[in-house]
Amino acid sequence: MLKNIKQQNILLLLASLFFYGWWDWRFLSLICFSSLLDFFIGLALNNTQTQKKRKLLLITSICLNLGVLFTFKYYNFFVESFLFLFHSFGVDLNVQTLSIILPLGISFYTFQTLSYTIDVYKRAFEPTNDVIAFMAFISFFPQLVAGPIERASNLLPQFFAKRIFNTQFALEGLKIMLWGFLKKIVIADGISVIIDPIFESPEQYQGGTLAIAGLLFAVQIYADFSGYSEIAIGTARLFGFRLMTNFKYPYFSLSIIEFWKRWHISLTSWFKDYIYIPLGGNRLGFSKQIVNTFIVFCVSGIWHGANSTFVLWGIAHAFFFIIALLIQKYNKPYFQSFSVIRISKILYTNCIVVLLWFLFRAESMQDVSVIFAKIFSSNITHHSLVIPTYVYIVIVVLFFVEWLGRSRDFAILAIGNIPVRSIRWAVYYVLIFTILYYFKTPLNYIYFQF
Amino acid sequence: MKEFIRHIILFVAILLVVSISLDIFISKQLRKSKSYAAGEYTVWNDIFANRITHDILIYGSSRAWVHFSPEIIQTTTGKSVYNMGLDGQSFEIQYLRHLKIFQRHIPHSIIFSLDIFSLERDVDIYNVEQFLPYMPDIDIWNYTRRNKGFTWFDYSLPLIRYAGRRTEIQKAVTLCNATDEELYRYNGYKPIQAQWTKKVEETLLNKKERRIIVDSTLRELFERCVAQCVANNVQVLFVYSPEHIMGQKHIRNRDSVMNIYSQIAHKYNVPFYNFSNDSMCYSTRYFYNASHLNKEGSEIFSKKIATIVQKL
Repeated sequence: MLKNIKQQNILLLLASLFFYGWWDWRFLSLICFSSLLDFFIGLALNNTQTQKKRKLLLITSICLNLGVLFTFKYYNFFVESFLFLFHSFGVDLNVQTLSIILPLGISFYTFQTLSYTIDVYKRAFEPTNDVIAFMAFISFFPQLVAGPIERASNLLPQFFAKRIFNTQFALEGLKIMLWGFLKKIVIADGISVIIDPIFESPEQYQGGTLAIAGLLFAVQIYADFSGYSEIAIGTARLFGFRLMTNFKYPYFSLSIIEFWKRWHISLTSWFKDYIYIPLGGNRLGFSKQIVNTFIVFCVSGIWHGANSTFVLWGIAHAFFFIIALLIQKYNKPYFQSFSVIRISKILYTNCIVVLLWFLFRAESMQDVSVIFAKIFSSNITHHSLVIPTYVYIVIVVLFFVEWLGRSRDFAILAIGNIPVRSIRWAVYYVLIFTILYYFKTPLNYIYFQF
Repeated sequence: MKEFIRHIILFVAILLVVSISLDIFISKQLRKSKSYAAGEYTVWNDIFANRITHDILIYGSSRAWVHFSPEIIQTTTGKSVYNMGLDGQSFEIQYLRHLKIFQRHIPHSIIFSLDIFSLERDVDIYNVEQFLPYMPDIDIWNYTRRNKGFTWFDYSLPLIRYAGRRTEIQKAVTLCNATDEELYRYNGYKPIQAQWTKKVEETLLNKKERRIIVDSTLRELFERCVAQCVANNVQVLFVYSPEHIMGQKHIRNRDSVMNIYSQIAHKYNVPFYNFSNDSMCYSTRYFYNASHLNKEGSEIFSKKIATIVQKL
């Protein structure tokens, strides 16, 4: 056992770099560059008192980090968009697109390093002079490829604290991982087989089929992404680290505003802290708040991918979010406590969310128009989708368990309330064998592409 | 930490017991199947239970298992016959069967049913389900581990090889109540009742010509197998069973592949009976596709082989 924290951090860093290099060793240089850049800029920010110089250092970090992200993720998208724009004005430009691979997790670790530098710049966080701990924080393997996007203030101090093994904490980690695997393998992958062919060629399917596929996608993306997050959080707990909660039962939200407080929390709170609030947040009046909200959602759309469908998805969410803000501003919550009202609100929120997931899942704008034309026609009553019974069962089980455990960060931990150990363990064994029964390789996570 | 380890050991111990029990149950049930995985379980069961003590064995691919009727050869020669043919397998897996047989029994004669595709390495192992109940066996491990998706865990840990194999698990469960499943193969032989159709002909006409890429390790393995048989005083016979003339045209380097077999036959003094120009090859009546004889064709061909074997 490594007793020394420094040794533990070296081991964690090596394990994380090995994990990342296993995918493609060439991109190790990129993550090392990004980490070292912000490590030294952090130190420089601390040693510089002149505001002008500090600003310059911050701008350097932002430009270099976003420059790398832009090159790998968005270059082709923007070039193609400009070419299309100029072409529509009758000007044909000759600009080459690049044939580049999107480095795994680039959007996640870029945001993590940026948050560190911004916090140091704002003097909200003391920079570290331990390069090993810092690099281990950026490349921490459980959350490296798809988050949660950690803040230095939460995760970095844990690399310096003495890690005392806590049985309860580690056991909870295993349980959280188990629930994550169940969500991913049994639910998300089970649904993926049914709906992927539909979204590949939506023109071949009826409106009803597309509507059901949309509903199933809503479950799939939640099970896939929250499942991954829980596997990451559980794994981190085995190493004695507490990562932030990334999902808090988003489909039980009463409004779009609440939905975004519960969905991909690490990203939405990042946007809130580093874009929305610096823009003024809600401090400069309601109209400015609306503009700021709109900007944040546009950026969120672009963050998700270099595709106009994601941009449109962000804009559409901004629209419904702003409506919800208006309702919140002018409507007094007289009937909040009535269950019927609450249920209707949940249903209304989910209707919007599911409808907008079509934008997220569709492979092109052309597919978006085909899907919406079909689901908003008489075609909606026709469907030819055969859904295996087990899919219904696991979806019901998922939401039932999550409803029962909604007061906790992780629903699975509610099983700990069962007083008889044999029954508790029997539940875990059932979950393990269910995962084995539905197991399928390779495990492709939706958010790995971002 | 101690408490955590104690919890985990107890939990894993129970998990292992349940997994081993389920593994045994699924494997045992699958082995009962007479038709699943092209009936290969019946042959593997015969091998592992030392029931193959026959005088004559027939080695080869699908062309072996649908062309050579042990019953007909046995009637003519008076010698017991078992057809070891494996559908869709290159010589590597055919050799695996040879290996398992030779560990238990050395036959009097072996007929190598030659195939133009047997020396070509396949990307993945076809009908890999046939190996599932037998995967802990070291030879099965050695010859199947190259299959994509198989890892050390599949061979070493209980139940892992059945993870995600819902069809096989469901089959194992249904076999609890279906012991009277129809026998698919008779001493390894599978007569196919199908006929030549227009669709078969159209497919053949549209099929592009291609070359066989002979894998040098498979060629060596084949030669090693022949050498091993000869060294053990096994009477070896090479047979290239009838292939419809339309099918023969699609392989550009057919002659050079056949030449490899001829060279090995010559080197080890093995009689080589090539039916590529047999009258049967010109009649669609005896085939259900270009490479495979139907039941009528295989029975006629088996009689021809029986006569040859009798004379040896």
